[in-house]
Amino acid sequence: MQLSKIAALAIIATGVTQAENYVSVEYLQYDENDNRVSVMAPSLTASYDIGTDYNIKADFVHDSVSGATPSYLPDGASGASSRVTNSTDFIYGKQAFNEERNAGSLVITKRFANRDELIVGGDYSRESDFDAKTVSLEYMHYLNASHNTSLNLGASYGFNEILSFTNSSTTTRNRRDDDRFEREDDYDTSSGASRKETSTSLNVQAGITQILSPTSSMKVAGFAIMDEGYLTNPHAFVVRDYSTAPKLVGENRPDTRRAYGVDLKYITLLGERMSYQVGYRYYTDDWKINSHTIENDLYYKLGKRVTLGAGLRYYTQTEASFYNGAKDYFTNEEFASSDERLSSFDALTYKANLDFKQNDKISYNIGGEFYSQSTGLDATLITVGAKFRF
Amino acid sequence: MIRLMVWSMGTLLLLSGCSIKEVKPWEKGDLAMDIMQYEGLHPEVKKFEAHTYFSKEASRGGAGVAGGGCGCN
Amino acid sequence: MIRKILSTLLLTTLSVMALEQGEILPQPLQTQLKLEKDKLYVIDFFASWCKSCKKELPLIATIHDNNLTEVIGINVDKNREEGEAFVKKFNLKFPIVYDSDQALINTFKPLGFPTLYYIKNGKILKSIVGAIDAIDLQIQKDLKEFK
Repeated sequence: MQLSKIAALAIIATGVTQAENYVSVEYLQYDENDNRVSVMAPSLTASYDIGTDYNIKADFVHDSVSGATPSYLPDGASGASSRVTNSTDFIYGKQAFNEERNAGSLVITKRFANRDELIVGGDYSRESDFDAKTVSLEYMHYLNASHNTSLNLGASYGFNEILSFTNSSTTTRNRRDDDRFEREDDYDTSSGASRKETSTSLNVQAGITQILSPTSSMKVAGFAIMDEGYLTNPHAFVVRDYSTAPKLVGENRPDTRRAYGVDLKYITLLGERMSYQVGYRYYTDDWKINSHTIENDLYYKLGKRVTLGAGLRYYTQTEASFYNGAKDYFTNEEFASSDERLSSFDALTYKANLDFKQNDKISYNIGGEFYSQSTGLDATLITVGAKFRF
Repeated sequence: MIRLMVWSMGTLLLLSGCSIKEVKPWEKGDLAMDIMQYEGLHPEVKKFEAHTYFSKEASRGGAGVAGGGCGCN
Repeated sequence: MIRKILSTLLLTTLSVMALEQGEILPQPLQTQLKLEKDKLYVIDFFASWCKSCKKELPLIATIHDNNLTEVIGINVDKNREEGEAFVKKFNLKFPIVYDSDQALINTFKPLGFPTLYYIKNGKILKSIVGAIDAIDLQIQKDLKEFK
């Protein structure tokens, strides 16, 4: 039998695409242990289909971040808590800060006659000392008439502006008796006390999605990320020359970072009401950080209105080649950081969530996550939200 | 990198029972279920999770190229 | 009952090959769909999980509601209750055939989904595979060509 021309020309998606019209509001509360960081983040997302060929999606989030992050500090505080109990000069304490961040994104999806998709996106994030702009482009191409295999290609380019300190010494900073350390007059560009630095980030990804059966599919993707420019954390310090002439100075990271990785995902329906998803990501970069991430998510439809979810994530990373947490390690090395996020550690996340459909138009969700690192960091993430479909 | 991707895909195929069935367009109803989406029921929450991991861990990537930076890392 | 079993068996046998433009539907299929002589039918395959069906069906319904031609919807949800709820939600007034065992669509074997066929005297005049904007205008344009 011959293929009809019309059918051959107009092979389409199978309606599996998830574009639809909705507005969702979410409130996220993130809290760390030991009076560290807290974040309150209300967000708003809207998605709208224009006909069958276009979708536009926008979101906005406002973060209010407060608390304190671990850092080496001058030890002048009585009763200060410290990880380095035998030090009288520097302690690994907490550096207080407050920050407000606004971020928004816009994504436009165009579907072609053969239902390939072109996705163009832009992101903007702004806080008092960091400004980030990102543009992204993705293309999804079906490799066969059945639309069971698709090739996904994507690239994004980010341009960041960071406010850094010209004087990396802490001697002009204030100390407080409660183990906290706050900066004053930090952002004084007219006096030259601070300056603007920039960095760029190029992220490319290629992957394949394959439908395996009516109830399962998988994705595999490779990615590469190239960061260049000012990659140092302007708020992090290291101790140098502790045994000879101890001083607390700003950390210094290389101005390039090349990372590669592979990400695999598999999802399957178990019975008629339960789905299971497993994912694995391997990451490696030229800072000598390697990481493995394994994520599992389970969803169960309890009746027609309620969906329960649970998840477990395991993460492990090696330390950066220029990282050391000891105060008596660094002398004149060019690159040095004691930021524990660059150390080697494991982390576990436990997740549970519930979704309730009031009717076809309105649903509510609540979720909780507990994140625990072997560094001693614990955090909880609570989410509450509602979605309105129209 | 390509070798790693091929190896990884092969492993996943093994996990799936070494079978890829030809799925007809009208047989994709289960795949369209909300619990069968890779981004979960709430992509907005997934985005915030990713942001949390980005600010507390030293690696990123693999979940698409969209999304911007922040001063949190 | 026996007639239904025999029809299903015959349809299953014939479902190896897809039905294309210009072909005549097997007689058991025409009987099952209750196709009358000399009437032009728009036959649309749809499902509750199909996002573009939600956009198209209200437009296809206007073809029926304005008496432009006969419309038959074939719902392919495996769970018939979901199909019925979907029909009720969109208030579809044209005849619906529930194909929950997917025997009918396995006979037509369209290359994509959703798919719409124009059929007269058992013959497939044309098919529209996939979601298109303003499908009601496309159908009205096609109907003029067929007359």
